Amino acid sequence: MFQKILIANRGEIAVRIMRTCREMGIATVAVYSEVDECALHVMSADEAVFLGPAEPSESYLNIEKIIAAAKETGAEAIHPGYGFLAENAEFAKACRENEIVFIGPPPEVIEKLGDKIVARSIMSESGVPVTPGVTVDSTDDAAWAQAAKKIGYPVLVKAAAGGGGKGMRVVNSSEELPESCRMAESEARAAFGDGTIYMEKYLDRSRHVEIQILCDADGNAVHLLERECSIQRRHQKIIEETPSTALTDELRTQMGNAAVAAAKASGYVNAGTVEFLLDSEGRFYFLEVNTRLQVEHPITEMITGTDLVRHQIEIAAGQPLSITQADIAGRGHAIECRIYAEDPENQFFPSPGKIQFIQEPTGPGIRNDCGVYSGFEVPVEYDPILSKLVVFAETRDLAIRRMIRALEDYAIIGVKTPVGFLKDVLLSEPFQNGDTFTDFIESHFAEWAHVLTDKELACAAYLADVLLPGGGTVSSAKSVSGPPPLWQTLGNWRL
Amino acid sequence: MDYRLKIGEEIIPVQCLIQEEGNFTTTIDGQQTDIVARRISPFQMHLMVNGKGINVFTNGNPEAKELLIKGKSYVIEDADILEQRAVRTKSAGTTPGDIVPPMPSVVIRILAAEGDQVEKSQPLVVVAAMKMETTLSAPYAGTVTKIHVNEGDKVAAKQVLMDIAQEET
Repeated sequence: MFQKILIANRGEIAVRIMRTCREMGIATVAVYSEVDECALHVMSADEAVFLGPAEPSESYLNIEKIIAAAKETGAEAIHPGYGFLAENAEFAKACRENEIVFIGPPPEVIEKLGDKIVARSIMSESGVPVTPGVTVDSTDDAAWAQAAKKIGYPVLVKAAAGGGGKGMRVVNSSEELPESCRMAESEARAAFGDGTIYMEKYLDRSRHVEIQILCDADGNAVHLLERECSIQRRHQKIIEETPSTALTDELRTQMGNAAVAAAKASGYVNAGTVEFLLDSEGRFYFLEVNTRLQVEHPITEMITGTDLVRHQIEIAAGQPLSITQADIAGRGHAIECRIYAEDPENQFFPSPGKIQFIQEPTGPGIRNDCGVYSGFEVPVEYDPILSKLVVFAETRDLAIRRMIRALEDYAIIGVKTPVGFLKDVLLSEPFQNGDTFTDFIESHFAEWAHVLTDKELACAAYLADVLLPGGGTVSSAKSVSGPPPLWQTLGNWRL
Repeated sequence: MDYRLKIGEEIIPVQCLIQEEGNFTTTIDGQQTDIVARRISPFQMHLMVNGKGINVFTNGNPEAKELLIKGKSYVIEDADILEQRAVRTKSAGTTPGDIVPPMPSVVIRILAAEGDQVEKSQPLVVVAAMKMETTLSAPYAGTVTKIHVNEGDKVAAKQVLMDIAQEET
């Protein structure tokens, strides 16, 4: 087993991985950029290595610096988390060349499956159903228009090297096509360093259902059930849950088996996720394989009672899978809400800034994987994820109530968050009924603002804050201990 | 004490009567409410409102005070103070002829040059923050008189990136 692991990531996922390492008695090394000097992941590690300026290319995406950090500290393995270098085959190769174990699949597998076009053909050949799609080997607008016409609008333009919803656009008509392709290419190049795009039929009224897989180096593979990820905004997931309300036991078994077949067909090792689209007839189509641990992995851990990071480390250390398919069973229901520093009333624009105060929800069945703390300055350079709020309960209905209660107890001051928005989504009838399709947000929550039902209460609270001494902001330096002096209580007056 | 509190576009008149420290009543629209308030920290208070317990979180900001109650965010301002301030200070805000980013970002692409004639809604600058690209467009037709930044510059929210002289029609 490894003595020391370097976590090549930041924020909540780095903290989460380090927890498991500590539980396994493995020393941890954090890496950080200029703006993360006081980040939680740095404080959670045994050692920390400074990488450089905030830009990802100078820090978290810099392969040379990260390998150097591992060698300098004697880390035998690197866990890449998600995003950044997690699906970068060059990085996995660099680890291998430097005799550092990359906790994930082999570089060749990452490469094959990382190219969505190649991945689709591997799947087709193994009999896994795929969505009708095409790639066009040219930048010629006319060629794309023709391909789109053949598939039939609406089409989805996607980044071949991509994931996480970046570089994706739904195109409804031929007029929109050239601009959409341009923007998708540009986003893809910025996010993944590769602007290659391809096109798929866009399935309306579909659900995004993915299957967690775990494979060891001896060819054993299991699946750990599904995750329903249909609540998305601009193709980025915001709420995930398991089990999916759309899956029967039979469908679950079919999809699970297809995922395991996909894993074996590609020579997969370690943890991964096979994503499918489920149409309204209960037919599923392969979408892509994510060759990494996913953001929403906690909900799987909650219903199966497993620690996926532990399994990842054990597999990377050469151990065979310690569980068989028969050992895996799901019980209860789990939901995750992603809490980003974003303004839901202003098109979810990132809301960077200093977290003045944070109080996390707690209680039975509550897990908050948090990467920030009171006083932390959320940087602009990275994904603004603050935490993942996960709940687990006996039934879906109880899990929804638990999540609503948890959201009400989650106070974050200093940056805007979608807490109020998420609460309204969970309270909504379509969500409660389980009608979660990929157009959920567009259909029910296209424009959202807080409905201020308790204005009088808010006014009273405002006055309480004004009148009670000890109110806190940088500007109010006066900290009065007795009742406020008369001058303050008189209020303002005009001459 | 009389207050006029602004929530969104609405102004709510509130009469406030202090009984003793932490104990006061508010009268809004003829309705009286008894409040016993205790401060837990600069950002947290516990209120008993007509006998019912409520936890309130606040940014404590004297200007736009944000109050978080059960996951809902209320931003309240004192309308009287706002009006005084408007009278006293010259409006130092951005004029409609400016191009400003909505949040701290990095300039990715500048799509026009000084001296260019531009149409209304013509894309002029692309900025990026947190891997999301935003295109800032011309608010009206006119001529680009000055570009204040270069590609690669880091810019603050509401910082003026470009000046456009509106076209005489």
